[in-house]
Amino acid sequence: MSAPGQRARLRPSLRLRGRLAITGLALALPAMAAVVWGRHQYQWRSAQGTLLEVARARVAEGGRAICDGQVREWPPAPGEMSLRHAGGGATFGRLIAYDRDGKPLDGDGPPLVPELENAAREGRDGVVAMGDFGGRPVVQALLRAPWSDAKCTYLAFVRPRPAELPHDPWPVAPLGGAFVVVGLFLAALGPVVRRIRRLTLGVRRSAAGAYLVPVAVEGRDEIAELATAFNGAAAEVRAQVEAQEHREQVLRNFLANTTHDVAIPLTVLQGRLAAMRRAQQAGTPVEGDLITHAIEDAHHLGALIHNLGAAAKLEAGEPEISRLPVELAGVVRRCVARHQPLAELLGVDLQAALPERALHATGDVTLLEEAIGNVVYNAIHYNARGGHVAVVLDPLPSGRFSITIADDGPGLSPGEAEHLFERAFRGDAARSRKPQGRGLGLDIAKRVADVHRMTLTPESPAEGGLRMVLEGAISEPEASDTREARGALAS
Amino acid sequence: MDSQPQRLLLVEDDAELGAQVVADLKRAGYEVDWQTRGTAQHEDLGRIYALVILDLMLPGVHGLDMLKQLRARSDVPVLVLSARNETLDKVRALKLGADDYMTKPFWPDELLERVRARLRRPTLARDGRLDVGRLSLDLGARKLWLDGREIDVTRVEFAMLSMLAKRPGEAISRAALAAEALDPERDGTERTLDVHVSRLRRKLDGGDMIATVWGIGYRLEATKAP
Ligand SMILES: Nc1ncnc2c1ncn2[C@@H]1O[C@H](COP(=O)(O)OP(=O)(O)OP(=O)(O)O)[C@@H](O)[C@H]1O
Ligand SMILES: [Mg+2]
Repeated sequence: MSAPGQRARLRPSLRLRGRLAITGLALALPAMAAVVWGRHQYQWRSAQGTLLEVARARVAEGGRAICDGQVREWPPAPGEMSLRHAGGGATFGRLIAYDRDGKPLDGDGPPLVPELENAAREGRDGVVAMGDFGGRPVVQALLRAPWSDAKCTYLAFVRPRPAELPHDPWPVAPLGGAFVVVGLFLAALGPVVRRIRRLTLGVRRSAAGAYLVPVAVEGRDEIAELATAFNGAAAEVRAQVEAQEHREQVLRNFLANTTHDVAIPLTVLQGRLAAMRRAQQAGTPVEGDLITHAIEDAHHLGALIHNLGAAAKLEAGEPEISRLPVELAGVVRRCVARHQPLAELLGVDLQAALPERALHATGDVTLLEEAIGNVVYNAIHYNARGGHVAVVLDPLPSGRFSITIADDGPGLSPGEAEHLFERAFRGDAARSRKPQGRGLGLDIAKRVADVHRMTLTPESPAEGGLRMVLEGAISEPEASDTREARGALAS
Repeated sequence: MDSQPQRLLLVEDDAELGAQVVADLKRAGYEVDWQTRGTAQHEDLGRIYALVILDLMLPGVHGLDMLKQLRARSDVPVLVLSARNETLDKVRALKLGADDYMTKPFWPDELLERVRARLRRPTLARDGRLDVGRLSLDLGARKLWLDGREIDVTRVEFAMLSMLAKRPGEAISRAALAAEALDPERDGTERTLDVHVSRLRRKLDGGDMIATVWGIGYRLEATKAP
């Protein structure tokens, strides 16, 4: 595969890791900070308590002397202070006297940290703060002098800052820890990212192979679910593509069949027309039969084209077939009207009887007309001059209807009824009397009946001929009725 | 029928087919206007034409749109010609108010017959009176006249004849006639129908007026009065 393709494939996963890292840090840092800050607050509070206690003890011990300047606790050389000088243990540290404004009584003494100086001016007592003392970190506690007649107003107790109480509550170590955790998390994410990458690769391969190869489903987690979902979608796409291909195949077959099936009767018709022209040129009368046959050929061609259209529709299947209210008297009327000229030509009496009230079925009006037309066509076609065809639409009890097409033609020979609906079946009568059929008509009529859940049954009446009965369910038409239905009996 | 020939409008874009249809309709005694494009409809065509024959695939305004506009203003019967044999085209045309459709290819005779059927006037039953050819029926008083002369008929005969006369020229099945005219207790079943019909025929001038229809039943011929 090409290099740009490779890069394109890598970038999304890096983006995923980068985004996870940012998200991880964004969540981990505030959490760490909260923990550190909370711990610091707690330690500071307890340290303050301890410091004040110690300071008060020291004030009670020897504070008065310091306050009055009798004992100069402050070392002579500034900056050379030893905090250990006045004793060790938990109580070491020093007391220094200040005036009411928080200024050292001994002019060279160390100043209070600003926070305590403010507290002194406000006259507060027992305030603790951190600060620097000659460049060293210290804690200071500010206490009011308990004597009204002493020289100083305040005494500050100063001691080095304990190690567990850093002045900066944002140490580097815990933050580094957070980065390490996030890093480990991202490293642990590696296999997941690799699986996503494999899935992407699988999807690309599947797409390149017309979705015939499914992607591998590893494990049972969300990524596996994604793979399964993709396989489902791929199956859907494949089904649609297959349906499309099927339709195209049907169309190709249709075109091929049409060309073949139409070419033969058309050639016969051309032969007859040429014979007519020869007769006309020779000045001999054109035989009546020749013209009749030519007209029959043309009618047959029209029927054939419609039948091939119907066959294509049936082949293509359900979505192509309408399911709409069909007014049955109209169907019968149109079928009879279409075949009346042919019947007259062949000397066959074609009649229809329709009930007074309109009857509806649900289905595809084109297919139903084709089916009934084929049966009517046969009844005329295989009949003899002077014969009859009757088409009767009747409501039946229990919400059904029947359309009966009866003729007094040659009927079926014994054993023919079973094969009647097979494609390309042609009976004795047909082969001897009408050579040009292709045995397509009843095959289509039967299949149309089937897709409409109707029955098409041949009956051989005792008096001869053939009766074909189409039976199906009556349905209520929708409220918005058509003019056709209202005017069903107008003609 | 009026002495004035009826005027039809044909809308068909194919030159050869259109010319042929016009010639056929003229030969059958109609006057025909022929337009080869679909046009917007602004007036009531019913005032000018007795019937419109409308192709669907037209240059200009599509046949279905033309039908819709035409229907908004007029009740003139419309016969649609469809070449595509598409179910949805037909269903849509009927929904939009077409009276009927024909699928190409068709024989000229089929078209003429469909036009005639559309233009045939419905039998008028004014004040319970029916006039069909030489016959007049008073449905309320159950009286029958042939060429103005009153004919005496039985209850069953009158019931049969009035059913046939309501749909002249149409075959009515024996079952339907029997259901309408015979009381199974008094008059017997479908088989006695033929006896009643032959008696009625004798009363109507030996008449070829009531024709037997093979496989169905009977039909009253819708011939004009001489
Ligand atoms: N009314 C009928 N009377 C006698 N035989 C019939 C009748 N209808 C059908 N048949 C027989 O059934 C056979 C099959 O009919 P079908 O309509 O399927 O094919 P076809 O008429 O031979 O050809 P196609 O309809 O494709 O032109 C006919 O060939 C004929 O033998
Ligand atoms: Mg056939």
